[in-house]
Amino acid sequence: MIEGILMLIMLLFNFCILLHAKALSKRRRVRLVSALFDFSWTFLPRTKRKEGIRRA
Amino acid sequence: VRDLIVFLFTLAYLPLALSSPFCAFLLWSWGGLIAIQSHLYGFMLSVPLVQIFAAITLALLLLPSLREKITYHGGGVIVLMVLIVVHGLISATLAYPGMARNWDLFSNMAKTILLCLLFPLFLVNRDRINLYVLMLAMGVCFHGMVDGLKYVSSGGAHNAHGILKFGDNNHYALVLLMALPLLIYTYRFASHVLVRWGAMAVFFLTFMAVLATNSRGALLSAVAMGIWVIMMGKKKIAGLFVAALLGVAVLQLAPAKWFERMDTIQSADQDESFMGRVTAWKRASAIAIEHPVFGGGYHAGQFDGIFEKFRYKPGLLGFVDTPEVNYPAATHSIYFEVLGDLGFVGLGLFLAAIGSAFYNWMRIRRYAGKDPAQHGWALELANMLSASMVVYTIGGAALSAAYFELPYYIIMLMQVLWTSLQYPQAEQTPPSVGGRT
Repeated sequence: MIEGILMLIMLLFNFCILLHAKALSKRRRVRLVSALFDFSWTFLPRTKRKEGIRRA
Repeated sequence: VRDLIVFLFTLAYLPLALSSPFCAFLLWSWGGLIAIQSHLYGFMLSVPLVQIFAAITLALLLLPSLREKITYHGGGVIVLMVLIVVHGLISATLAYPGMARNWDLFSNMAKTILLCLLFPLFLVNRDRINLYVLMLAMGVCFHGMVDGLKYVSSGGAHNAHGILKFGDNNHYALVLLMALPLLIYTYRFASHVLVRWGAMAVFFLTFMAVLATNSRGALLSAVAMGIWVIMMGKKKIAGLFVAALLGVAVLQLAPAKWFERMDTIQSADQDESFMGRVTAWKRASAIAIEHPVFGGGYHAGQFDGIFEKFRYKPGLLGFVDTPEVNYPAATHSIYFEVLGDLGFVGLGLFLAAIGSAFYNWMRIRRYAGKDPAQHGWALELANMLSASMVVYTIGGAALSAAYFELPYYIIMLMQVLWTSLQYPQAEQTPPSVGGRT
């Protein structure tokens, strides 16, 4: 039972990754999915981080 | 029901794979690592998912419209990978006759290298590399999540025996440990809270799955990985705090038999299991001395006829007293495995491939360290990939894991990471649409 649920979640998550990957090549975004895979958190000093400065 | 779920998702994946070679490439890599068939029992067992996605990727690459867009910055590692497969082909051809797994292992190795050769085509910028890292982590850690949940819910009674794809409990623990640093990277750089904390939850469960394997080598590798990650990180105190939390979790959850098993690390020289491995190392090095350029062929030491021939030859380890063995056990060391199978030349190429990962890591550190605001992500990812390689080089010293895909993928990831810094290609990410602020 646990395995089945985890498998479902994992397959769904994978589908989201693929949607985002596809959107990347089209220079588009899939609103919900692209938010999930935003790895743009900038490596900044702590003070600037707290101000919430992010990569444009 | 599971077969039906996987079937439906495969149907959903197919249009994406057919319309985007990058998606097909991701699915090829993911499918090879997750070995979903080990959790299926019905009609999907006979569907060759990996081969389907591999064929789609390669077919799409042949389309003229895509061929024109290709830029390829491979670096020296690509040459090394080609040499490894060419040398492996000659070794397999010249191998002792009648070895059952010789061509199987070469074929697997060739497929791994073929996928590796495509890395510079697809992983050309930060977004794509990040997605690939996520796919790898998900592919490997799915098994970790399942076993980790069973371990926690059973209060430490569950034993993880590994899966057919990865091998026994020790091999399984090694692969899981190698994926853990990728989750640390995901936690640190994902913007969305769901992905960040999801990565941490998967990290914890996968670590529990490693405990469930009762592998002594995994404990040593985990300690080495922990030290490496803490040393490389900027927040050393926070790293120590997390390590302490994991230590408490171990003390609370691991049963007495786990501690008894780990205690035997101190008396390895009297341990029959360990000394059996040293005997296999003697045989492997004896084969290499007789065939220094091409070795005896893939897993030659495990073939009955060759075992008898080299049974009493001390090889390079004549100074170690070992007990008599009566069966051709596996070599149980990535180094001696390659030495016996592919000779000194093969070992040289293998070590060069591993060394290239650390060389690229140092180059990335030097380059990205100059501008941490811009390239901090690459620095962090390179540190985590190097932690995976540390696990492999230490844990693999006592395991037959030389032909696993994951270390080769990590070597290539390190290369494309360096290339993406050297030849930056325009980020294609659309403007940020949410997440942490």
